[in-house]
Amino acid sequence: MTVIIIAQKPDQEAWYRPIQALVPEIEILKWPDIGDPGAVDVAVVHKADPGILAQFPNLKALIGMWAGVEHILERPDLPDVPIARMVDPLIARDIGHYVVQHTLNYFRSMPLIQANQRAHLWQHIEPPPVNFTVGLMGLGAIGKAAADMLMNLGFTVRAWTRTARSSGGDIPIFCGHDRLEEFLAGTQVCVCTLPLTPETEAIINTTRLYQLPAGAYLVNAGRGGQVVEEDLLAALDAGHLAGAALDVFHEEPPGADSPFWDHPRVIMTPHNAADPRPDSVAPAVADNIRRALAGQPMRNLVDRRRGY
Amino acid sequence: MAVLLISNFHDPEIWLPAIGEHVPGIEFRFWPEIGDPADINVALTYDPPPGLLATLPNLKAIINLFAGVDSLLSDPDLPDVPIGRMVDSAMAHDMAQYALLHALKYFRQMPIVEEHQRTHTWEWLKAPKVEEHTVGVMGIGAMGRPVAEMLTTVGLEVRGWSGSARKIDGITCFHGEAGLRAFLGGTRILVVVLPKTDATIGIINADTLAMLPRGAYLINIGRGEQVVDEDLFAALDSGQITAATLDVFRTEPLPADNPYWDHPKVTITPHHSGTTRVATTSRVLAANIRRVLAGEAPLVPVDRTRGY
Repeated sequence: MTVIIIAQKPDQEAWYRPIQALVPEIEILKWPDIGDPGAVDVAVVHKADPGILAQFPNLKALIGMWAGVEHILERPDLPDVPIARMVDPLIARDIGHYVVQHTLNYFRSMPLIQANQRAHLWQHIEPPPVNFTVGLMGLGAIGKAAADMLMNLGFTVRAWTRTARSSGGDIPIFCGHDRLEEFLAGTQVCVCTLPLTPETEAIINTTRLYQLPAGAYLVNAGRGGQVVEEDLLAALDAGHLAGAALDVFHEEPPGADSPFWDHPRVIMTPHNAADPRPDSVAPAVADNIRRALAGQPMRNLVDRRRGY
Repeated sequence: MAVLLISNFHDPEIWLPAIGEHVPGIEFRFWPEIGDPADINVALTYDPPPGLLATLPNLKAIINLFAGVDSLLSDPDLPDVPIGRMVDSAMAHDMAQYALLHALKYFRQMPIVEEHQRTHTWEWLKAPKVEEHTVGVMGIGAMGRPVAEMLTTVGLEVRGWSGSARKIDGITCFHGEAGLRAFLGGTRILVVVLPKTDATIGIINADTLAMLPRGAYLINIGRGEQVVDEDLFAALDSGQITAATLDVFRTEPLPADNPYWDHPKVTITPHHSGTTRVATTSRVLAANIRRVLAGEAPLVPVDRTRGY
């Protein structure tokens, strides 16, 4: 019974050490040391080049160290085994911080204030509105963490989800594509933390952007594939959207000629809204290793049909 | 019996009806149209001309329209009547949001990220650790306490310092000159929310800036006079301070030729951290008027010897 960790140097040691420390009785190999590939039961994957996964004929489980799994589900070398994804409270907190920072930045008129600073202009800024609604697309562990922080700050929060869920606490939930228009119409800052699935691909397009009220702001901490980038640029340039904070893009890194770089109303961040930390995720990974080796179902299993 | 509003900031056509709605039957006057000075029982003040209040023989109380009473107390002829100051929970909430926005901006390394966007550089930055970015709130009284508390709601590490001893759940509190070095020594992001008093003027100087760990950040939402500007410039230039966000200045509006405007490490906001809202503030002012006319103490009485 063997486990292999597939990550890239120099990160590999950082991922390996805290996990191995929690399961000292289990032999963990480090890619590219694959030992007897037929003896590998579980692969713990951070980054794996194409084809690597096909080398292990007897794999029983795959544990991913990412919150989003769309890239792994598309792999031709993906074995037909259960896949677990990362659900880590620190990731949720980090993305919550990202959402709060960019929502407040817009809410507190920082783009205008920064332009005024460049012009040496001291100008009274109207107090921010008392009632202000942030709409969250996606209310999983990540969306929920952001919602809790935003509500503590006094924002009104609403959420859109693809499927019905039993509890959103006090958060009004708009469920399914039929209610997306209604959700967007009352949303002043639209925050996307959705997983990328066929259902959410290109979901933020011209039609949907114009269902937001004029002057709305977009925060995308989901996936680049959810936004039709030309549509977003057109809505920004037409003045319909006030601005956007984008952590994810169709192409990463975005090409040097991407119009987002120099767009005066776009804040670009390098897909670092969250940074999974080996010491934080190790307990959940170790637990899933034990479960997989014992033939028990892993936690946070990916549903391939839903895509996350 | 009349209430006199003395302010160059508050529009009487907005404020007097808004306050009057909550205290029907009370006559309001707007300086300089005082009428018979003997009629005035209560003065609502923002930066009143020195000596003016002493000309009101039947003054029972002064309610200062902002939290800071430093300019009021500098009037050598200030009559010996109770003074209240505005501690508006909505304003404290706004200040807390402001502090959180700028603390998150520094915690999440936004100055570097913004520079990367300008130079079209995609560089993934490792997430900073909360435990290495303690936010130190200097001043944890009526205004500072909500600031410190809001910072904790998103999971940041928070410590506080005040002139005299205070206790707040979940926040390590320091006090007095004796506690200052220890407080600053463990503070990565310093938020100043102090009232302006003799003891706090110039408190952010070369000595105290040097007590912070190298590379610390400063956010000032107290008063401009608390910062020795030359010392801050030197600390920014030496790298002792990585960046500063300043909402208050010795001269406001900040003169167009002030070197802060173009300093690449300084963010300037136009005294905007705590904003005054007519709806909430007028209600608190009306409650204060009712109290002092009934011979009760104002909601937040000022201690002249402490200076706030």
